[in-house]
Amino acid sequence: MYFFRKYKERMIVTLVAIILLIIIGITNNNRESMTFFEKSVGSILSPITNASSWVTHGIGSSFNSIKDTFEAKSENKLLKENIKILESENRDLNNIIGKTDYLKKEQEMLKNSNYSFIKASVSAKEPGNWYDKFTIDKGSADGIAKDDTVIAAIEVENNIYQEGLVGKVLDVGTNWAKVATIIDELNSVSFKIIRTGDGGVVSGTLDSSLEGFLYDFGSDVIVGDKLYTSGLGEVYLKDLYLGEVSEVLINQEELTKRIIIKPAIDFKKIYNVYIIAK
Amino acid sequence: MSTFIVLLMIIFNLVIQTTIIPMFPIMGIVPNTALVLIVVVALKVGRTKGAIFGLIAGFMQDVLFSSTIGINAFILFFIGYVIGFAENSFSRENIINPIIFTIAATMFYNFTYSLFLFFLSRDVTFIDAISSIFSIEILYNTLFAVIYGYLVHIIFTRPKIRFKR
Repeated sequence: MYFFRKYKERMIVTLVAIILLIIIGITNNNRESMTFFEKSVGSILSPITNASSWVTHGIGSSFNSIKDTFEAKSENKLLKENIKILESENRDLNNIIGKTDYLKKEQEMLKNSNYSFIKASVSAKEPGNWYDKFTIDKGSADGIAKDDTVIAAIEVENNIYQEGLVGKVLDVGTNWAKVATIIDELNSVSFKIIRTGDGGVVSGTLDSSLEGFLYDFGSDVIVGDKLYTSGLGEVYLKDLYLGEVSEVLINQEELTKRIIIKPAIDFKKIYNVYIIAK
Repeated sequence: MSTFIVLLMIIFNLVIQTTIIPMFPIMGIVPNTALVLIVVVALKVGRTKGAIFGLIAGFMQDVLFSSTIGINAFILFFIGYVIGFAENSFSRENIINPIIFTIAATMFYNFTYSLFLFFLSRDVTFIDAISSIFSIEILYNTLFAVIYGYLVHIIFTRPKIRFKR
């Protein structure tokens, strides 16, 4: 009995271990039904099971909802990116629609046009880094008058040519005329955005870009919007291509939306222009 | 009284472990808080009670969630028993002990579990076993060892003066 007393604890532990191993061995096989032992333990623990499943349901669902909100954030991000892609696609399509509309109108206009185009070549350019003003080799003898609109053929996209606004005739001589381009600081052009129809005014800046503002602060303008002359003020003819918006600057204090426009025409490389005679 | 509290903790841990903690996996691995609880409790209550609590916690886990009954009970029983030997060996306020024992116990648990699975002819490879033994679960369990160690320390630190024997 001394042996048992000395190793009592170890024997109990070993016994428990063996019982557990037997239980593992029995329960490991696929069982048809629950054993009596498992049934009894299960019935003892079933209140706990129920409680835990209830708590699982309660806490789990609330945590799931928290998790969902976290997931919603990333989902939201993803969807926003998708929206961006779709928006840009939509913008392109709108541009195409707008352009076809424009071209159709242009074609109609050209068909019924009373304008006569006078071809002229640039004879002299104002010295400087870029050409705000230049002179052409046609004058009043060819039917050119003051404030006539000067355009040039430009390629908007692949094989799509449009009239791009160059400027207006400032002074006319008999066989020559002075043309002020739209990037001249003193020359302001009323424009409209073909996508939305919002209007504004652009004027030249000291560098070769155009800067302008929109009449309406709340108007919708995005980078890449194409600008056409609106014809307001009757200085320039309607629906001549100006350029596209390269930057939108929002001035909260003045409540104006300033835009920077990339002109369609490279004013450093003008050699031939067309004058629309009124 | 402390037995009752520990039983409550085991049940509470079971609920927590099966409901909330699976929501926060680190690299797909969830901590074994039952193991951690048995480790920190066994350090406080000694080998006999530690073994009994381990047996109870393991059985609860097995009966409720496992088809094969007894694996968790077996492992937690031994962990509670063996770690219970260290009951009075160390300074009680030391937080390092639960951490070290948790690391050892986690590795032992995963080793034994994979061994059981192997002998129960489950599909477990050597790589699986090694990667489960030295997994990030050790770190995650260590985190819970700190929390549970602190909790158990608070519960078991009772006023020294009592008014009844």
